[in-house]
Amino acid sequence: MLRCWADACVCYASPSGDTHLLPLAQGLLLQRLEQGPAPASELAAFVAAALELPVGAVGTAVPEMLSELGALKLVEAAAP
Amino acid sequence: MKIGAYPESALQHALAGSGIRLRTGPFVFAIESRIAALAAGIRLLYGEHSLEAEDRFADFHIRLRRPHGLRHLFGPQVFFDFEGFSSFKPLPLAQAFPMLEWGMNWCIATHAEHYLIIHAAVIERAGRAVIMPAPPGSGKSTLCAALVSRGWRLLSDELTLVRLADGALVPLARPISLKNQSIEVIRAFAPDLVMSAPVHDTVKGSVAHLRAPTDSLARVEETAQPAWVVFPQYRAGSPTVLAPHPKAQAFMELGSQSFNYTRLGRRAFEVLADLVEHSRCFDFRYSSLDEAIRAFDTLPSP
Repeated sequence: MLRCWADACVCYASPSGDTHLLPLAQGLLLQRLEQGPAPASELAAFVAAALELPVGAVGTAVPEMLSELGALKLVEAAAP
Repeated sequence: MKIGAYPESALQHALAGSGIRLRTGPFVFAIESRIAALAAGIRLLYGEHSLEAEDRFADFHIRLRRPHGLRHLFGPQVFFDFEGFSSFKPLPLAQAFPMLEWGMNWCIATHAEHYLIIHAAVIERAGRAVIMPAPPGSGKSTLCAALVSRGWRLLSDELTLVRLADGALVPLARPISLKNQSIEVIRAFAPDLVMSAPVHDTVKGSVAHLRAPTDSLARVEETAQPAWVVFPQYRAGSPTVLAPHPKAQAFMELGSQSFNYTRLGRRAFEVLADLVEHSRCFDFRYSSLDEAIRAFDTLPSP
């Protein structure tokens, strides 16, 4: 469960019951992934469009953001 | 008949016998005690409440009593029993009324699972409520008392009850607790409010209680909708400053100030997210109560 505001997002993780405060970009990543798996390039394009930024400004940060979300057990890598 | 209309001796007799049933907001407390000072405190601070019938269902059964056996040799003490079991360590007998209030708060905070319960004051005007979460010492109760003395309706100075079914804020309209310097500050600011004598040397210092205003009590069945979340901070000499507080951060702070957010799980997340969504969130620094009142009277529209 995810809610986003202008500044950041909050996410409720069902298995653990934990609530996480996420930067807006990470919340948007999660929002896109709730619709289904996607490659990093597509995720970068989604977040960039939502934040009205060039894709290049977001693209390099996506792997690290995904890694952090993985550490929180909010996402996992999909099988190729 | 209102409690204040009973002779103190009659109230003492009722408390020492089968007890009294006291309704505060949506809860009925069955209270028993042979401690005379407690009857005086209830008569003063719940004077505008009416007693419920003896056979009325009670949500909580509590008893404040003096110790049995050899414990009385350690000086006069009072125990708080909930459903027949001692819930806390004893306190000095002089602290019987504060113990009643703290115990009632504990009963609600630990058992009322059909509400998301936030450690925050909540007041209302024109159907719109301000929630003021704050750690101890921030001036929350002082500010709450001042606002209530100037026309805001008191829902609670301590426990904000958010009804899980629909997100409405449910009033308690119980006595406001003041500590230390705030006692004299409010006595001077609002001399017409009914205040108990201070009780000293509690874990919170000196403590006094203000009776809930009559109009707040008259409207205790009337819920309110959240419109603002204001994080107050008293700072001596500070200018009055109202600044936006990020909503996601407000959500996390409200959750951390909740007694049962974690226990309630997903539903608490949804209810709290809706509350924040529909509220404007601010930090509020102040040193002057008059300026604070003006600032609250002109809060930006939600």
